Amino acid sequence: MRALRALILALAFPTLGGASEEMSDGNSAGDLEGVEQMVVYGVRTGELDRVPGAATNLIFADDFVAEHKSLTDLLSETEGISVRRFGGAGDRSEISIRGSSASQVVITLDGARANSLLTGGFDLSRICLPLLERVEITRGAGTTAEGSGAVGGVVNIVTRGAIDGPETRLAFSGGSFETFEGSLVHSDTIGEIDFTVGYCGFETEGDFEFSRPTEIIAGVPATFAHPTAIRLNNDRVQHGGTFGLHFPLGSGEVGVSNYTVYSSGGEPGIDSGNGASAGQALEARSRDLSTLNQLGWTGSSPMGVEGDFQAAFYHRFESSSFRNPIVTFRPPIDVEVHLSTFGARLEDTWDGNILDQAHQTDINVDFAHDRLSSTEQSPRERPRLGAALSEALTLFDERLVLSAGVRVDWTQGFGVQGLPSFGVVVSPFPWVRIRAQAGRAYRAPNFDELFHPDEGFIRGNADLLPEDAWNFGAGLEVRFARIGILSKIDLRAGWFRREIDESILWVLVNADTIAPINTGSATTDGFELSAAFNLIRLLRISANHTETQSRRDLTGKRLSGQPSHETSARVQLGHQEAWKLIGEVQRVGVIFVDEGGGRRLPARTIWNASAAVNLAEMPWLPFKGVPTDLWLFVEIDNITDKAVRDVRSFPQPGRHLTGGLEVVW
Amino acid sequence: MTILPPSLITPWLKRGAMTALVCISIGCEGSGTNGDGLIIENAPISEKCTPIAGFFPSGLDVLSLGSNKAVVVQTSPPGIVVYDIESERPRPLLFSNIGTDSDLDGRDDDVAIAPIIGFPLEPVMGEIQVLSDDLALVSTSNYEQVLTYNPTDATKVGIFVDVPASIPVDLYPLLPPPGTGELRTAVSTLACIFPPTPIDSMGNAIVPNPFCDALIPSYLTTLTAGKAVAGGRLFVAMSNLNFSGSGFLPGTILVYDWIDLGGTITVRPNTETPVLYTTGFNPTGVVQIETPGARELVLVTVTGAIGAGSGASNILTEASIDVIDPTIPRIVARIPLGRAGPSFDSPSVEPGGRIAWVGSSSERNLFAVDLRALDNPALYTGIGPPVILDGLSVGFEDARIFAERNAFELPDRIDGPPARDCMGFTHVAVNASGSQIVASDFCDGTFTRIRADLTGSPPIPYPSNRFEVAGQSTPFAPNDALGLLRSPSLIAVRPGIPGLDYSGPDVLIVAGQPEAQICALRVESL
Repeated sequence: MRALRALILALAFPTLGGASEEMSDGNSAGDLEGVEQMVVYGVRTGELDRVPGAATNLIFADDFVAEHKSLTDLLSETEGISVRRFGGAGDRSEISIRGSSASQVVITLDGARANSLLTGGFDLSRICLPLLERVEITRGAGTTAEGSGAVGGVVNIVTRGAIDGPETRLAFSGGSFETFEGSLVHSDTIGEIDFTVGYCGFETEGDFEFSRPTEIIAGVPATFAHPTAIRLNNDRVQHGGTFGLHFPLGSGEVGVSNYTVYSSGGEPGIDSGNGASAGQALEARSRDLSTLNQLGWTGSSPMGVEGDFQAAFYHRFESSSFRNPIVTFRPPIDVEVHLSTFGARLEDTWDGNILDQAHQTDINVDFAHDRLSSTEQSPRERPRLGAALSEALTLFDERLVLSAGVRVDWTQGFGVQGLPSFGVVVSPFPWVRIRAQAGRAYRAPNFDELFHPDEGFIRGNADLLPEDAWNFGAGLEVRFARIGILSKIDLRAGWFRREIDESILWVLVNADTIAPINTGSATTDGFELSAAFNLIRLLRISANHTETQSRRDLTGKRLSGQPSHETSARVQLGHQEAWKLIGEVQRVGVIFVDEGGGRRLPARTIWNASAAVNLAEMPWLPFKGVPTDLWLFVEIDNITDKAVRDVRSFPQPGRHLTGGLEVVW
Repeated sequence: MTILPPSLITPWLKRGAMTALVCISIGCEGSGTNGDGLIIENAPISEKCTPIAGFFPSGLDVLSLGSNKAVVVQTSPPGIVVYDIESERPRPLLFSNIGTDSDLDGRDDDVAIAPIIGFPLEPVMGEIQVLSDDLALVSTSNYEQVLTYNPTDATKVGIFVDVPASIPVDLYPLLPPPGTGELRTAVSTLACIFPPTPIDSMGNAIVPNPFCDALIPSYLTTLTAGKAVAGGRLFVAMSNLNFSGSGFLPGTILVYDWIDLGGTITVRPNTETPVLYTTGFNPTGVVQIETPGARELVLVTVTGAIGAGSGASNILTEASIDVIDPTIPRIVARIPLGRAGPSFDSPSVEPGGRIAWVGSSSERNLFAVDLRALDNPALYTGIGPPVILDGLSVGFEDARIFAERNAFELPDRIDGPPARDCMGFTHVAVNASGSQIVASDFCDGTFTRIRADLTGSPPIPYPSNRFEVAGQSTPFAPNDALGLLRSPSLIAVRPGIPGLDYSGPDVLIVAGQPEAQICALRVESL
């Protein structure tokens, strides 16, 4: 009660709330002598420079050391983000930001676009967290930098780079369903060359038991013959690697990087039938290989003004194959698809002053050429070109930031699109930040939507129009060093709204055929809340909640596939560098299976727990000083063994256990 | 750095390790079955409709007048649902899953069929035909069979499946061995076929199926469709879509003896005429009728080869209504419909046995034939090929009222969808008095009433001007209206006189989207 009173007082009279201290957001540590350096672990608010006024997050992989988290896990626990999982470890998972589809989120890997040219989406399971340094999330914005596709937002995945001095990280874990994962990352500096090389491997049998659905209609249950079944043909092997090096050249630095992942496994598909196989595809297999290479130079602006200049070339290649020899009433499926993108981007940032007020001008030009070849359709090529100019003006000792930008984007076949954006950030006090942002977004249809070959039951639609959207958002962020017994307090609240027209959906266009169509206008709005604080020094509590209401404007019917609300909470007890006990709970609301329909996947509450100890920090053990860290951990997910599905016919595992170690030296 | 002392940490570590070990040893891997498992709620989205589990229901039929019940075949979980149809919204009474050994032959279905086709397959639910309030026939495909159900209480009905010793081994691979019989709950329709004209609908030669015969062109039947009992025989249409999806194999009607002596029904393959070859590809709907002249016949909807699309270009070969004389048995007549692409339902027959209607799989049309032409005794005297009732066969009438060239076109919906993707997929039923035909269109969601004037004895066929649209309503949204109740398909009319024999709605329609629904409409029942 006293804590609550203190909080109310602090909010009402902020100057009484104690000194506002510098907080690390990953961009600056705030090494001010005499001021306590605060390190906030977990999902942090971020102020990504490019998008003033937007809602952003930074997730640092090291904050979750020895927790056996995946990228999918971290994103799903972030406000405003919902993840659709199509199974367990290694199975496909897709991101949704503020109710968007997966193809409405641009995923970049070290700044280069990684979305599939074919489907527009991105399989998060192909990313191995030990190879990552951080994840930068922009919700409801990002079009100025990325152009087509950033309807829901942008996620930039940043791979590990070199640090001062040599470092090696080794991790190994094993767990349920014969799942084993290992990684090895080494960073070092040789002369003036910093380099990082990493490997991450994964193998699973994936044969988890799952609960078959019971459909209840007017009190009458309709059940399958057996209450549970085994996920069959769900094995997967995955190998990923990263390589990066940096060395000085001229007034800047050259960077070379590569991220490659290979994955091979079974594709059981949907569960449907009564028998032992539950209607799963027993022989379907998929393989995919994707690699992204970048060469870039970063240095001072060649225009002779203060600022940064960046030039990068990248090449992305993706090869995937799918085979299913057993398909009834159609020929066996044997499809190979090769996709490649060659692109380049230039970015020049000028920092200056106008009437003693700081401003930043950012000019961005990028080009990409996409190419598709497939065994089942004609080769396709498509160039894209974009140019953006954005300006941020910082006024009144950084109390006010005004920004505006415009991008001119051209995708072959869809003409020129003008994408304006506006933002404002008001920080009347150092501990509060009020932001607002608006911007137009669009998405050109992907290759599959346009050109999927006519196979009778499925085909593309070459007449599609691009999706066209406006995003609006506003938020309040408050940070305190201490209020009463609470410390390291981070409170955020945000509102968002997206008005989208001509959104593209795959629908049944006649009795037998599924095809993508433009579906008219829809609106999504909602709010995001998050809070994080230390209750005592060793106890940190964080939670977030997202409400998303989406509806088709013509009918008022709720859109399908996304929960209306999600809540995540996490309690961490322990010292971040020595030991930790973590309890997590995630509440996901009802998911509509079909738009406007009555069929609903139930709301669920999932509990996870993990425990980890860093033996290198235990003074009575003989590890001190040999490795920097030697973590042992055990984690139990879905402790209460709930039946979980994000998609009706794709089950996820019940309770499962993982144990392992992580070593840094 | 503050670290808890070892005196606290060490016991905790031990405890954690022990917990993990115990967890592993007792099986930490859960099955997601906590509580009630995965419960999917299906809430009504319309005051006149009730959700159905799974996707597009494959069968709908109504029971007798007094029962006030209807049955729907549900695809997933596979089974049948019995409804009380006297209420404004059909009320589900019970659901029965077909089980893993649906025919009770002692082996799970997927296990039983695997050696024959090389991999396991499970039954895919098909249409239902109610023979009486205590017996209905339900088709399943992949695991080809006709299940026998009691449609009143959704229990399986045992039948004695008897296989004469003269039947070659493996001709019916899932029936009991020749010379034996078993009590089962289904009759297998998986059979080896040796077509006299071994050409498929694409014009390709049919090759031998190794399971049937290494040398003779042959195939195993696929896609069990409609069925009817007539003349002491069971007739089952097999669509025979090529397993690779590349066209249709010759359509067949499997013929079984149906021996109903009041106790357990005995079913056995007919040894003299085990199979009839339809006059075109893709036989689907089958119905037993009695002509105005009291002749018992079987009608078969032969759609011809059709694609998985819409519109006239989706129709690849000629369609017909084939007429079977069940007593011989033989296809005695063919009523050609041209490239009509009828829908897959059984012909809907006017209670007087004068007219049969079928919908269209690809256009917004209906087709009708005059069954009085089947009372011509000359049809039943010959032994040659079926008589073509197109007006060109000497001594026989033209039985076509509405065929491809003069189809009965349903009116366009004013606010209907663009016809590019969905040009019509109609289903049709006739009311109990025969005075009104009702039709649904999957594509534009319309419900059309057609008035029929069958008075007097006009020449065969009935003039087309005796049928006119009486009204059209839009209880369903067009197919492209996301989020709304749409995609009506199967349709059935309750027996009896609305308002007199019953007070509830008189028409039942299955709708497919956003989820499967069974809807009740008041058309004549006010």
